[in-house]
Amino acid sequence: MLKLMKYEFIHSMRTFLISYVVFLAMCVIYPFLADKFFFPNIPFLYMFFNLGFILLVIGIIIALFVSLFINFHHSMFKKPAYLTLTLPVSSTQLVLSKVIMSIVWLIIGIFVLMIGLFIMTMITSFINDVITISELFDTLKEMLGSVIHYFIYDSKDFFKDILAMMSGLIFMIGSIYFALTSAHTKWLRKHRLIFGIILYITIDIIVAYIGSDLFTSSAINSDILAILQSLYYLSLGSFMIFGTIYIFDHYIEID
Amino acid sequence: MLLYYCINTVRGDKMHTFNANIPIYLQVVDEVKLKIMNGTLKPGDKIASVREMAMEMGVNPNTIQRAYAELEREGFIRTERAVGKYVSENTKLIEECRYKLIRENIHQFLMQMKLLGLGKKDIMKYLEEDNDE
Amino acid sequence: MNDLIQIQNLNKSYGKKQVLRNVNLTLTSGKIVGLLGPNGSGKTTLIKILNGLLKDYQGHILIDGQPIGVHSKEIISYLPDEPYFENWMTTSDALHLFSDMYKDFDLNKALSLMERMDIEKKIKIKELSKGMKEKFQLALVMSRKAKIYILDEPIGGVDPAARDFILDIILNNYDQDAIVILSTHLIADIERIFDEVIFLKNGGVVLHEDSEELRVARQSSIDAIFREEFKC
Repeated sequence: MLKLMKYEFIHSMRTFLISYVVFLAMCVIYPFLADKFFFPNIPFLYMFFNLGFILLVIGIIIALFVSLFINFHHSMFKKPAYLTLTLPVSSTQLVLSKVIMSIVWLIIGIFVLMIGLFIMTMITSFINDVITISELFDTLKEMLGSVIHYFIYDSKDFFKDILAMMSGLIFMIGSIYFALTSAHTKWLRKHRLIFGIILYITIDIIVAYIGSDLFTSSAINSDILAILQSLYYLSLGSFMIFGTIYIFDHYIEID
Repeated sequence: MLLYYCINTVRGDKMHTFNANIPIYLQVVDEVKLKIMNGTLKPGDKIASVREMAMEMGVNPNTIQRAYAELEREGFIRTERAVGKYVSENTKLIEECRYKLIRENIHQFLMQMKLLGLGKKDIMKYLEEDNDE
Repeated sequence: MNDLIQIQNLNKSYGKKQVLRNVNLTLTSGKIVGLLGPNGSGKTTLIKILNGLLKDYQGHILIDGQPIGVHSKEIISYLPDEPYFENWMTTSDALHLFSDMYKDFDLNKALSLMERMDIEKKIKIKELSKGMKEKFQLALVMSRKAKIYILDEPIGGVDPAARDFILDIILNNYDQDAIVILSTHLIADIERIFDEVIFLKNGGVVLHEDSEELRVARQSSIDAIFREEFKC
């Protein structure tokens, strides 16, 4: 199983790493470009209202989605499937190793996003001479301090947020895998990838709609509601992961 | 049949040419017999293992296995357990078979020449002419 | 000598189209078996099912006494008719993958085969020519000491010299305890290595015989018998 995960990691690395490197490079370059188009000297504010920045973040999120789809689809259903699915491992090991590694890369992605934003703001500040190196370090220390403070004093919130994040990731990955795998059964013969994508979007919309309905109530403590919502996504995600494994064991058809 | 087979075998080439219309193992039997009869394989010589022979001829080892079994049945080779297979020392059998084969071939040759209208005397004339072989 | 593959009443259809009908086969070890049939005869489907790439079928299959699963994948070495490597893999990557994932992989044998074929180690697989890719894949597959080898069109798009080389490798790896199943169109070139042949027509087994006995019975080469059987 460990070896599988190693290869999964390397396999996913190709697409994720490129996206991250490009994103970080853009974060470095962007302040220099933006400088030419906008006058205001308030680094933080204008950044957030700047259209280009938003596009950058949306861009990387799309890239990550596409990576998830492509990595799974390519290695499980295209030619490499003849290698992947004939390895002497159970479907459970195969799917779980992919799930785990995707989560790992996505978590790395979250850190990349935070670092990128940080770099962008810092560079902008430097360009505009708003901040000096020593002040930069002070800010860093402050930020780190607040994170640790949050972790220790607001543990409840911290864990609640982590739970929400993990549930969201598991649900997202589970629904993508399940949708793609469902398209490769005997009930569908053509246009499998497109159907898979549409199925994923459908599942996402339905679940989110029901989820928002179920978890709005002024009667119950909002914390508990948040936890319940996380568990909702977590269980649905897990269900779909096991559904994916089940399909691989009983219904799969590779072209 | 042996004559035909002789024409087909390409000596020195890795891949023998076999006639696929008849069992391959019989053709292997014939080839080994020929080698025994013309002295390439002498009585008591060790013959190649099943695997070696299969590799040399580019055929399935089971085919060679069958061929050897047949050769052993006819008495041309014998197996010494755990050591290998050897050409039989039964020179009488080998001579008899060789003699029989030569007579068969000559008989066929004569029949063919007869079809061309040649008698024995004419054939002798041609043989003498054709001394630079 | 044991029954490595037991197939009972295998049926498979894609919608209304029946691709495999009532296939019953028992294959024993120590044989090289030719799986012969025209396109659409069900060969590929049968091979996919044995490898676990198609799961929804009717019938019973036992491989080495067990249903298709992790154990069968451990003992089957499969060569598909097209290369199956990821774009980013180098030949070394592939070697490491096989060493890591297959207990029966012989790295030294693979390396010596690669040397004979003039394939370098750190080169990207996608940069190899088609023929080299196929030979490389064959080297990997035959370097495993598997109980069952399933080769789908191994000599398909290859030149005659390479064909001899490939047959050489196959014969060299022959093992009394193993079985080699070879699926091909090009019968004349390789019929000499088949112990048994199976003719598949429209999803059904029309013939499963010892090849030498067949030659005796029909006074004909397997190739000729095949052409006769599958005349259009």
